Amino acid sequence: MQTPDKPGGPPRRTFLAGLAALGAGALLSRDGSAAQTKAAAPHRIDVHNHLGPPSYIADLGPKVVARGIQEWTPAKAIEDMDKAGVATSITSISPPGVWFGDATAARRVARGSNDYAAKLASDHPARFGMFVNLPMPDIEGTLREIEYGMDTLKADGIVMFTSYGDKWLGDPAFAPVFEELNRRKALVYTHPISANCCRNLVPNIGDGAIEWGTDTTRAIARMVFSGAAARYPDVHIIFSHAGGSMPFLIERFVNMAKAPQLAAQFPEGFVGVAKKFYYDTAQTSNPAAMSALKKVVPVSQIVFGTDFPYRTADEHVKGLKECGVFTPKELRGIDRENALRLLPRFRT
Amino acid sequence: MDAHPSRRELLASLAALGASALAQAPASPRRIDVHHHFGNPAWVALTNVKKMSGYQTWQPYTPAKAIEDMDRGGVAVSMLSVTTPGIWFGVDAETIKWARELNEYGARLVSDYKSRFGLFAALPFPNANACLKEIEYAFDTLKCDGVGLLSSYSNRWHGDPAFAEVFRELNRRKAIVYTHAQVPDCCQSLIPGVSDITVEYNTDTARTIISMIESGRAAECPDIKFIYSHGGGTILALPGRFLGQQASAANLAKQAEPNSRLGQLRRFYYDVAGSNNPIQIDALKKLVGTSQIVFGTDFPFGSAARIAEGLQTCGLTADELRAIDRENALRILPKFKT
Repeated sequence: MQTPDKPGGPPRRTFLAGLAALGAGALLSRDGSAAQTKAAAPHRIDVHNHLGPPSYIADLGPKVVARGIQEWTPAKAIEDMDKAGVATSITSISPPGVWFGDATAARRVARGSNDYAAKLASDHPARFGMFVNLPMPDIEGTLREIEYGMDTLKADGIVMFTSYGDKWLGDPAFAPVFEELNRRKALVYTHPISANCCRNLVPNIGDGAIEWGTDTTRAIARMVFSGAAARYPDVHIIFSHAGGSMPFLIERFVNMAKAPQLAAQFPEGFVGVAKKFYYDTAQTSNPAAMSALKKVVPVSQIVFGTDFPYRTADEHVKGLKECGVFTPKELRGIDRENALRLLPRFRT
Repeated sequence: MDAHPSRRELLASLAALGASALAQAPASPRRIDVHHHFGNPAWVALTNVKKMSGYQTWQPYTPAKAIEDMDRGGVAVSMLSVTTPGIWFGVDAETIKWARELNEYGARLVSDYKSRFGLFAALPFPNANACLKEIEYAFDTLKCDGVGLLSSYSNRWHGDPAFAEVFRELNRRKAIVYTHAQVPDCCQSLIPGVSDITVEYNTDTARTIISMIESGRAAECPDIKFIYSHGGGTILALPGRFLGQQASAANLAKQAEPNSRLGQLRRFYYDVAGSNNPIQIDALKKLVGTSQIVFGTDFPFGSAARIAEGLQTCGLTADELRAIDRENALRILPKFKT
């Protein structure tokens, strides 16, 4: 297994890119991060941080894996964290994930990725945690990987995509997995992906632009209205990207939960369920998204996420500070304290 | 948690929507409703036969009911348009006939109820040539005020090359293009127990907005006045990805480059139907500014008085409310100035 960020330094290309990112001023100090964050010790916890295990990249091939992931190194991840006061990042695989229709292959790729993520976490104690990557929708393989990931690798939780094919989280097909997660009182981090319905819909527009934010919304809808959220109360769920487009559909969600056939099931309405989920800030640390989310759920449900390596931690720190939506105390909650309720082992 | 003020406000406003609408009837009707649906008797009957989305609400439809709702909600003028599922059921000839009959019926309402209605004509999409013919008839003969489109037709969004000539012609005419949400073919009945209206509808508006901008069609058609329904749908959720760094507070506070993504978003108009809550209004103000927000009701699915009441809870100043109720719309519909 490749050991990250060991002597010899990063390859030249990485090094040059790193310099460019740091900017000229940073060259003056050995540790480029010092100038920017000297006041605050690293304290942030990033729940939305992607990694690129070499075995995963080799298995899927360069045509399938995003360039940011192909070029990912632990050193780059740590550098990005250090620049923005991130103490700990919880890693997960980003789309397209490990499922391409073959359960054996999916199990193998998930296992390789999980072993790598666990090694990364143990090589850098307290800097990385991990969410177990699963061969969903292969239920049997998933149950096995949950056991391995949680019991042997001591993972912090598991990661699931918002949908698999044409089924969203909350679908009865996934009940055995949620029953097991509920039994374990597990933390489930979710990440959007393109559902079957919604690949390459609008010419020249990547699925990430529109469809991913929507798929998170669909998963929320499915979890809430199928009753799964109530059925598995001990599963703690983080939805990425500020809940996707959910906050902007709030009126429709609220009205749906008030419909005569549903009202009895939702005595506290849609918001009563939605405010039990957590929501990360990745790609959404802007005034529109954050003010909307804050109006739907209490700030206690918002956790810091960066979407590294697609975006940087620094721009999220800046975005959250400047969006004008949060008080300093609320920011401390988002940066760290809210996540610690879900990830108590990182308490120092 | 319960002391969370903005959430309480939201709930209050949402509750207000369900309560009996008692917005004070204004001294003189002033609002301009850009999002107001109609159907001729044959189309209304069709919704019933096909059990199309919302068909119960259409049984029956009369212009008198529309006027009554307008009067209760202080609406001076409503712009008529055909709503989802529209008139495309797979056969061009039928769609062409529907467009013509609906447009003639709409034009009759405009002349029968002097100065109470305007017309956004239906077009026989996806047949571009037929659209060009109907544009000519609707503008030159029926004197329509603009066209009313749905957000997609058979999984094609507005920036699709197949529709380019239609938009070029509308640009030549400096037309108003009103776009209403639609559940696209891709995304019907995706989730058991969750109606398409909850998630898919407003998502499709975002798709067509992004399609127009990214295809270059919006920039190619600078003279079209675009109005998107329901506050632009989920476009408000997407700036982080669609605009990237441009969505930062500092950049949103600046004037946008005219042909940038943000610049395009800021020249479009967005109606408040189904979006008259503090979340969407606040996001619209932050992203595009109050000047681009226009009044819309979604009649007969929404009512003017309730929409007006909801707007009262969105923290808007009296000036902002006046602009949204009327003045912003008058910039693109000057003939209704009194």
